[in-house]
Amino acid sequence: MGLYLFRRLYQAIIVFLVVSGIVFSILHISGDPLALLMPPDAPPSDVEEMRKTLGLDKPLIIQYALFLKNAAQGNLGISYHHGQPALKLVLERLPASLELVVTTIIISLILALPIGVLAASRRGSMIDRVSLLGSLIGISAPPFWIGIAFIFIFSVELQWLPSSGRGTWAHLVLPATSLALYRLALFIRLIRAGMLDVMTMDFIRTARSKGVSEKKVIYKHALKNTLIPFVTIAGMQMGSLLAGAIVTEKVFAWPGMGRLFLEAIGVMDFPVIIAWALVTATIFLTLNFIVDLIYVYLDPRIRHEK
Amino acid sequence: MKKMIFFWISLLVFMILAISQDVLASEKPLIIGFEGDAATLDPHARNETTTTTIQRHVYEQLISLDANLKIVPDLAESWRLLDDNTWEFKLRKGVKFHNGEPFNAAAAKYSLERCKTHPKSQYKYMVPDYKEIKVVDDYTLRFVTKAPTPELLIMLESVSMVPPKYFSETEYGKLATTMVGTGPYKFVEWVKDDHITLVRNENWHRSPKPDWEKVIIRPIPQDATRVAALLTGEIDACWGVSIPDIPRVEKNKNTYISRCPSQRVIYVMFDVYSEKGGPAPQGQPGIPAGKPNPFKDIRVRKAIAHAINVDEIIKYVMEGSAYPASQLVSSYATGYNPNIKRPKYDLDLAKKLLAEAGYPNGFEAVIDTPNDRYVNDQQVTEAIAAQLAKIGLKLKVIATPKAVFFPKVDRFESPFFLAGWGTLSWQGTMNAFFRERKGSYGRTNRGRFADPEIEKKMDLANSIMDEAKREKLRNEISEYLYSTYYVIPLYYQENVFGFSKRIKDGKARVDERLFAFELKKAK
Repeated sequence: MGLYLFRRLYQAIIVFLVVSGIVFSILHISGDPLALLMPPDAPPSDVEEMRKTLGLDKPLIIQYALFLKNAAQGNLGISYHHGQPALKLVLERLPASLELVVTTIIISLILALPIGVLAASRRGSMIDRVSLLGSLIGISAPPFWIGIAFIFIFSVELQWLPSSGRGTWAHLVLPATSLALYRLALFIRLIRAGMLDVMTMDFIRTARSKGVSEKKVIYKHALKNTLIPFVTIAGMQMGSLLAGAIVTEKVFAWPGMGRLFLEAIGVMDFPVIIAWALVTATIFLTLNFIVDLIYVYLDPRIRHEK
Repeated sequence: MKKMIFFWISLLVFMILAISQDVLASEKPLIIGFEGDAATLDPHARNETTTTTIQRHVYEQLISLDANLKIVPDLAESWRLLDDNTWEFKLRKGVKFHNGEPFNAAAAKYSLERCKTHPKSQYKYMVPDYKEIKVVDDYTLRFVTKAPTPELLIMLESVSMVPPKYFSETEYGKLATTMVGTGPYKFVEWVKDDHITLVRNENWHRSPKPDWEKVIIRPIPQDATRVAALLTGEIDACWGVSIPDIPRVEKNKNTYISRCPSQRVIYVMFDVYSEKGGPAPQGQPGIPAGKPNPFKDIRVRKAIAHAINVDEIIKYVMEGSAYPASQLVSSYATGYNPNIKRPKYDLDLAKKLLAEAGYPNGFEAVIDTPNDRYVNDQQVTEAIAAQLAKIGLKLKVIATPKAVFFPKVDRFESPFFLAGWGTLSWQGTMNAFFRERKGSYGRTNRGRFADPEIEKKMDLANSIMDEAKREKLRNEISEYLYSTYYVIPLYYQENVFGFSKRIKDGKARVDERLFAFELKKAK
């Protein structure tokens, strides 16, 4: 396990270097942040002064070296627009993002597991066909459209739930549900396909022939074996949601990481974009690690020592 | 399965309880929805409309602008010119910052100096270069400029007054996330991207006091969501109702709309410098390589001015939500010249001019536009390209996000582009558009217009303190510059604000600002 952890850490450092290098060069090639940072009527002399203050007048390679030096000390730079440490700005939004994502994943799991299992065990039945059609709609509907539609149905017309913002549980319902639709659809399809696959395997036949009850066959043997690929996808979904449920966060004015990133891109706030990219990389690495650990639990044949 | 149903029912009950509690809460604060959040709360850092508007609930200036953009006294009660360079301000007495520090001439001096010198300041150009700022007594301040500065008052309108002791003792992170001013509201809390809470300053030096005891400002970036929040009563006032949403707000029995022309003008500009198509900076990449630059010819520019049908663009593309413009400054600004008229839509004249210039069959070029900066920017540019096709121009529309567009035009890589501008300063506008890019001039001279006569006249106009003489010169310069067709102003955008009926007579402002202390409670 020690060696495994060490290898993971070592991989993480390489990922950080590569991510920061790529993001840094793409950003600096793509344009001049000063054009959007300074007010349109500011004189060019003020613009050039600000360029010096921000260190953007130095050669790119020196800027990157300085960035790495500071990053090694945990300083990812000061946001051009907010005047505050970029990493702090990103981390401040993390709790809001976590709240939204965890709720989303819980809603989708609670619904997807029984529906997927039912659909697979009664293949071709009404439940199966409805769930397939429903999940097709869930996967294809654009999140922007769903968000706006939810707001107009549930907030404006029915007046059941608040339209936007964060605060009470009620504020969480619409954004989490609209994010969950896609995951729900995806998870149902994954579980159904996985179950159908596993149900034809020899050990299921063996279990049945031993006289194990159908319920136990499905939930204990089949479902557990379906979960391995499923856990991977669910983990990555969680990562991508944390980093940027961008559209949904914007539509529901949810103060999360995705919205910060979207705004930073719009005004080329380089330090925030890089801090966001690195935090996102960390989230993915951590989730990957957790997923690996869950593998071991789900399938004792998998060991990391080798 | 039964457990699951139980779970959902209990969740629903819980939600209903949570919501009803909200409804039963006591006196509702005034809640305003903006498009974005404040970038920072340091009043001398980020210079941008939303940030400034939010800060001005707490921070005040020596001078302010009323809803008609007329200069009115604020923390300075009066002022006079002692000579061409020396301004004397009499300050309001007995004003205290929210932390108890007194506002006096020393505080004003500190604020002006901080604004001019702080490395994060984006307002440096709003404090004129000075020889000296002199504290004569507690309530008298003398500002001695390096050169005569006729627009000094309108510049100082941007400079917020801050408490010197607190600002020099507090770490920057706190200054950027809290506010201590002299204004009508006191800062309570800021949850970034979610809300800012303010309470009324009961000791405010002006009367009447604001109607609302508690104000919450919420950033809601999506237009449709902001309007939905207004319709449901979650917010009471909002900035920026988009054109398709206007009828929805008007039809709702609890809400109404107020609209007025914005000071933001949309214009097109030409490259009048490059000789030929080719790589920048000498050539013009937006024109076929080797071909001469047609926009250098004033007849071509004039032809285009007469071939763009602004009324049609306003009616069909902007759905009526814009006002024709003949110049870059708003009609509210000093320096607006009523004699300058828009070029009339006249296709025959346009064709004749093009033929005279040697392009009877038109020519090919690029027209650039941002696609995320102004209302319907890309659609308007496409409409312009379609209108100009009628006189034979084959224009390729290149629409890019603002983050790509502005650096590109700043590198002089567009022969013809659409952009916007909004300021009250005539001098600032002319210095930015029509002077060579050098020192503090020429920031938006992205087609490299150059005219030595204008440079001289502008130097003069920038320093004449006699208003009558200045006005004459101003009009002369404006009339000449718009007759070069280097810049063709198209229309002023419209500011559309939505209000709930809890607010009496809410009015949209020309400068896009929305202030809680200007909103009156409906009885």
